[in-house]
Amino acid sequence: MHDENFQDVQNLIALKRHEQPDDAYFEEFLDEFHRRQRQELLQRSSRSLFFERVSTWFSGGSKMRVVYTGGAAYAAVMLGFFFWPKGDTPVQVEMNTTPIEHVKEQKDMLTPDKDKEPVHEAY
Amino acid sequence: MAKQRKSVDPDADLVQRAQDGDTRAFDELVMKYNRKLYGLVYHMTSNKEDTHDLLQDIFAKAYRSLRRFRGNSTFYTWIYSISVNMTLNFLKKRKRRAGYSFDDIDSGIQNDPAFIDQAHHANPRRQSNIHELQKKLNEALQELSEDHRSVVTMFDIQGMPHAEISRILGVSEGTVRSRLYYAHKQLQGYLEEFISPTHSPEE
Repeated sequence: MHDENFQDVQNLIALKRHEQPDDAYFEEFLDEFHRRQRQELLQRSSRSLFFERVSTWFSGGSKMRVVYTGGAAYAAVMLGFFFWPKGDTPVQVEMNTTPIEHVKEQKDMLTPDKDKEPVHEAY
Repeated sequence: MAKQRKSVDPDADLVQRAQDGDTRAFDELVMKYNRKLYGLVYHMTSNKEDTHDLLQDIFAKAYRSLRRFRGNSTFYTWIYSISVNMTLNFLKKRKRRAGYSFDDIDSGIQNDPAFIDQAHHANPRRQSNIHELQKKLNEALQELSEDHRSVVTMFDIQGMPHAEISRILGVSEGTVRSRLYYAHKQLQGYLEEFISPTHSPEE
């Protein structure tokens, strides 16, 4: 397959290596690089910087990185699940107190309430 | 192992300084590689403005990712990989862009004495028509698939060895050779009129 001689084609294509801008372009290139860096820092939102850093982190190629990050995310969710304050459970409170209040009411009906002043109707 | 590789990387010192926050060290890396990378990107895009913007983006990306560069390859291979990947992604997007034309194919090169000299040597039959040759070369390259164009650019134009290209592209050397073979075959068809008959494949 590779027996054919492509030397002429290769010589022609190699001519393209002369297509380069002059030295001034490359010196100006560095100045523009600095300008763009400064501009980028001013313009980019913190959110886009965060997402880029995350994507760069994952594009590092290591599988262990993905495992570590997945594990950390799972641990964070589980910690949140266990330690999140459980303040809103009104149904349980009502069920526990209802029978006790009912007994108290029965006692009150049998004995006069000493704490309260007797109510007398006005004549 | 990584330390051994680092020691053979000629840019290890500059990279280390740049990673420690020395922006001048990164500037030196930019100046060292911007010519080579310009060639890579330009020959893949055939457009000066696209090349300029893309090259700026490539160095910006390299600067942001530098702290995560562990020296598992040389800096040269690393930044070339970034360049090839970003250029291939750019070309995919450009392909989807409607109405794109190669209207600013470089036309200044035909006055370059080095180019004329080499062109005469490579192509004695067509000494007078340098501009046509250059235009045809660009068109022929653009007819190749992006994968084929990237190996032709690195091997034939930039003179990189197969092993280095395989490391940059993350493919085997056999794949690089195979892509080169098919690309050369295709280019031979496009550039037939410029090839000297004494070396033509028909003989």
